[in-house]
Amino acid sequence: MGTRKKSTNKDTMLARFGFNFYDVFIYVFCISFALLCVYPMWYVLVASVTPYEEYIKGGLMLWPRGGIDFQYYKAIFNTKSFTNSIWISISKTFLATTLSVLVTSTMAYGVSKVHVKGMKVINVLVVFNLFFNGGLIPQYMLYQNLNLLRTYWVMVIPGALNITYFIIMRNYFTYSVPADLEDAARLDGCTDVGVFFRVVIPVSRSMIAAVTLFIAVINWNDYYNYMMFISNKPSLQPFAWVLRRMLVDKSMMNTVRDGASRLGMELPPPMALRMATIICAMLPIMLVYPFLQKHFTSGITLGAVKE
Amino acid sequence: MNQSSVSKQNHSNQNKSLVKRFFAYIRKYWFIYLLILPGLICMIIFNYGTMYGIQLAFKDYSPKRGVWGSEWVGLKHFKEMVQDPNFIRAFKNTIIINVYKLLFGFTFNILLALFINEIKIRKVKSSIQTCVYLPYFLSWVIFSGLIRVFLEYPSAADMGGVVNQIISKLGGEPVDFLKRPDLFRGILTVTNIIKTAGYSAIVYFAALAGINPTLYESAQVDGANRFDMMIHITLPRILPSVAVMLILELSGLFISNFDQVYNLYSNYVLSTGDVLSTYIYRIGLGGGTQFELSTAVNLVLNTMGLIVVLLTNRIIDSLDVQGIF
Amino acid sequence: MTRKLRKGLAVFLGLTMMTSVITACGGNDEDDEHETETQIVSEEEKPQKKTEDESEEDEREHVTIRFAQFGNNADDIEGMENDPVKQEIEEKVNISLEYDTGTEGFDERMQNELFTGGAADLFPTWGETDKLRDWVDEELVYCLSDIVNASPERYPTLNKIMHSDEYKMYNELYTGDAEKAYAIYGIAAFAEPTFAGIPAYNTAILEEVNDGEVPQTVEEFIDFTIKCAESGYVGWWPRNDKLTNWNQIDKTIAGPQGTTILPPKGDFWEGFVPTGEIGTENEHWTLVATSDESKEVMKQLNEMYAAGGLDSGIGVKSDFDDAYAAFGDGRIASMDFGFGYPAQYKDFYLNPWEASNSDAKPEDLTLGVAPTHNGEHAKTYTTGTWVGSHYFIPTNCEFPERVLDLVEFIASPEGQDLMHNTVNGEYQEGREDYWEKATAPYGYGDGRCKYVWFSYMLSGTEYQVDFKNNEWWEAVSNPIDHSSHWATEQDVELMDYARDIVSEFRDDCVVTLPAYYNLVSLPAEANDIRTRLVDTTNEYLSQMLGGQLDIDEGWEEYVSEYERLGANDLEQMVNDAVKEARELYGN
Repeated sequence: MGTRKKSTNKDTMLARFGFNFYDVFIYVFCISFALLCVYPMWYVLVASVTPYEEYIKGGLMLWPRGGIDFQYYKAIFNTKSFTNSIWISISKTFLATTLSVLVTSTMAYGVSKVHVKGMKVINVLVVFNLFFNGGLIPQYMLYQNLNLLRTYWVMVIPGALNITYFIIMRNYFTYSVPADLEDAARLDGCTDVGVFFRVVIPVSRSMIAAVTLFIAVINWNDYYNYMMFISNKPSLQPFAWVLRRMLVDKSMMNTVRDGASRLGMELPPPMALRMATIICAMLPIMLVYPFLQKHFTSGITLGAVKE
Repeated sequence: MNQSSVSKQNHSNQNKSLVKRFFAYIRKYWFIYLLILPGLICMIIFNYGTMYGIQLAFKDYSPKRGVWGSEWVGLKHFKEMVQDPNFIRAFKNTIIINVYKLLFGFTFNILLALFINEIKIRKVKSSIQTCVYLPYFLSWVIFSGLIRVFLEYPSAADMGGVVNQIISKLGGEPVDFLKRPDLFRGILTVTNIIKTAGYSAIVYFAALAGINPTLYESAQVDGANRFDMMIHITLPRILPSVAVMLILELSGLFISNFDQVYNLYSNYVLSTGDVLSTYIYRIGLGGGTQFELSTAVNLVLNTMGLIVVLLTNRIIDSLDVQGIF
Repeated sequence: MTRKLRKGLAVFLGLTMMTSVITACGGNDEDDEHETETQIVSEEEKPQKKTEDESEEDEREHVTIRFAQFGNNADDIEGMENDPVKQEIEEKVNISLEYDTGTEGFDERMQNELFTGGAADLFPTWGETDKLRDWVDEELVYCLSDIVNASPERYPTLNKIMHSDEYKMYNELYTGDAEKAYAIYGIAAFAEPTFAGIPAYNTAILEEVNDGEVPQTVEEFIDFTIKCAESGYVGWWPRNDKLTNWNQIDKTIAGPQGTTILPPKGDFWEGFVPTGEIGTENEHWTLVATSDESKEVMKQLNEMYAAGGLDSGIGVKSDFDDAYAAFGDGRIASMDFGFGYPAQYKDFYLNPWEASNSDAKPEDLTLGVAPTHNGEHAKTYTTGTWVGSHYFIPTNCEFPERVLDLVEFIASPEGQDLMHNTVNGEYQEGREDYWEKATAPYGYGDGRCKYVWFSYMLSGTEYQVDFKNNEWWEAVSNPIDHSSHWATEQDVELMDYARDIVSEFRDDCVVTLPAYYNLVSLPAEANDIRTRLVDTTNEYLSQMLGGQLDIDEGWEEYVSEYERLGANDLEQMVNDAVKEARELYGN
């Protein structure tokens, strides 16, 4: 009963600020869901810098106890295949993203010109692939025939045309680049080439930037191509795969721990190393996240829905 | 006689001019055609190139003879598929999990969007948005790592994950979440909500932003409370978006999230957690060598998926919003 | 919309057909070329080879050979590049080596790559007759004896090996043709019989919980683990990483009770229990995974699990490391460490225990005994020989002769010396860190002088083999064991301790099968049935162990699932195959 009284008290107090019970409910709901979304990451970050003796005591880990300790990061960065995989991930993310954005955006622009013959058909042909494909085995055989299996390029080239972002960019070019602008440029004597470079690209710069970031995040997180088409070639493994192995496979963990013990460190506990790896994998995404958020909230990436 | 020869001549003339016109047309729009060329090549090689292998579904693969030369066996592998209890199970699980995600995830997304929209303090609103979008950008590998850490079952030697610690503190029995077949689908649904709800809500934010504020003002004058306004003003305004999202969601009825399930499942929960994508992977490359069966399953799923998509796209068209085709 | 679609569909069909034809032509061309190429090779090989050999051996082209081997670690890229043994092999054979390895799904990957034309130039598989016959029929692997016979002076060691009677016997077994060798067989005799199911204890916990008494029977062991749980320890971690490896659990708990919960996996008799005298007409092997005794065993296990006696983490976390870490920290009371090898006990002491306890002493651990039930031990059946992985050269390899050069070098005294000889050999002197450099990158940083590359090839036991002074069979069944040369005093102490304990019950545990059991070959359907049964078992046992499936309710389903998948047929096939082998090779 007491709580109830309190809450009504609160109600009247809040009401003075224009709040009511309804507001309280909404605030509580939204804030707790928001916390649910970020707390796990915070927990892992805290756990990864907490000394093991403290971590093992359990609890909610709201703040690092017993001092901050970067020894686990030292242990993982001491491992060559670890640092190597970071380079692989960076380079493949860069190459694959550049290629993908170039190919996808040019094609999306071309196809958005529906008055040009053939574009409607090509559009259907592209989108069809979103729902229909040969499947894993034909894909595997195709890459074998193209000599892509077990090469670095299998992580870069096949994804060049990203169909999801093709649709988004096509819709953007169709609906959000003002046709008047293009027509005006043409009246001024611009050719298609001129229109594309002088009008369309500057106008859609922010959209292209957003899509680039999105595709980059996808590429950074991707381990599927490695797992399926390279399988086991430590010199080519991307960081996302190392992360997966750290989570489920003992051999990677052993390498890191052996390396740490050779450095003269106390044998680090597997759980702590896993946390540190998770943080390393999240870091680049966190760095670009403010930019990502800026772009996608303005709705440009959701071209699928026309108001 | 005469007439027919004339028409013939006409015809050939037409042909000639057609070719001429064709090249003239290409020349006129050469830049547009050039722009789509790289994408077109990629598509033909990497997307349509795999279609060649679909014939495996109807053949008994012999490496010596190659895909093309292997013997046709008709629908043998499809019969195999229908008779495979693991396929049936994976199919059932996929549908059930997707229905769960639709029932709970979909409604949650809408609620979240509506609630966040109700928050009037700008700073609070934007920080909440920042938080809820974030998980979407983490891969399932990372996310499943977090889930495992949080749901860990306590043993005699350690205290288990945070969730179980809380359960024990509240006096309950700890739950071995990731080993319980009866909980696994629920875990998939809930973790999917946490990961994607914020991002999915963006669509509705866009629609919500377009609502004319005078509508609310006049409603307030009429004495409507906030809840009434949400039901009578806000909700109808975002219904078109809801419909589109619902349809898009429905079109993925046969699609299962490989990343999510693969990173979370184990032998304990195969009975409720094995989905089509993990099944295809397991029989094809991840341990099995049933190339033909794997391809056949994929073909069937794609075909069914495509039918659903075509149907839903037609509905979207009639709703006067832009579809995907 | 519909028109658009129809148009799209038409164009799509056209496109698909076009790409099909293009790719098909490409594929066919390639295949044709390949076929003609191999034909040309086999026809022109002989004259060419001779002139080559006569002129200059050094002119053999430099090639990159991808070599695949099961189960090593390849993460230490830098270490592998600087591996002196690898460098020496590369230099001697004039090749570059690319190392390919893996554990989970490795065998299947090898086969997938082979089927799609992308197999490693030298790759292994475990010996399964049907698989090998299939590969030969599909012309996926080279006939190695043909290449060797074409230029015997180029491959003296291989020539000798392949012409031995025993080798030809295996040829006949695997492919039906004694004169055609398609594989480098990896077969060996055991130096010491191996068996599982002996828990090692943390002595301190044993003292605390059980007054230092080592549990002797299954019942005592189960009680012990539950008592541990009550005192705040994990009772037992049975080394079952992914809930697919039931061997330790089986040998410790089920075996003494006269049954086995194992599915038919590995050796054909695994999962079976024999009745009647082995080697006579009375013998019969029964598949007992679904027997009532096994059901009782699962109930015991479930009780242990529920009471905290069994580590609750098995199967979901990657508990191999976690378990090792927990054992090292003194949180787990007992643990199975692998097989009955004394050397493995030593490794077990070194890895989880000494690695995490700087003041470790051998007395900290107590090696238990194989538990009994009504005075009976778990039985481990073995033929005394180990059929390891056989190595193949796929027909997608363009230079099989060069790959065989590599094999020849490894098999030669020089190659064997390079890989194994350590104390008396020339390689160790003045190069103290040499072996550390050579083995550490693959996860064997303990300084043992057994090299990890190619160590499975030629010899199943990974020991040195001498083909120069011995016939093939003699060489592989009497490998040269260097372990006593390099063992430290502590190592010897640990191994002697383990050997002493194990010798007390070893003969009660190990049952030696007649040699012809190695030659039993099951029909093709048998393997399909086995695979399905293994999956079924893994799934059902996991759930029954963890309590997700009620054993009384689930057992009937489990039994009927076994019957549906052809368990009875498999039992018949096994007994028929045993009978056939007995009649063919029994004398």
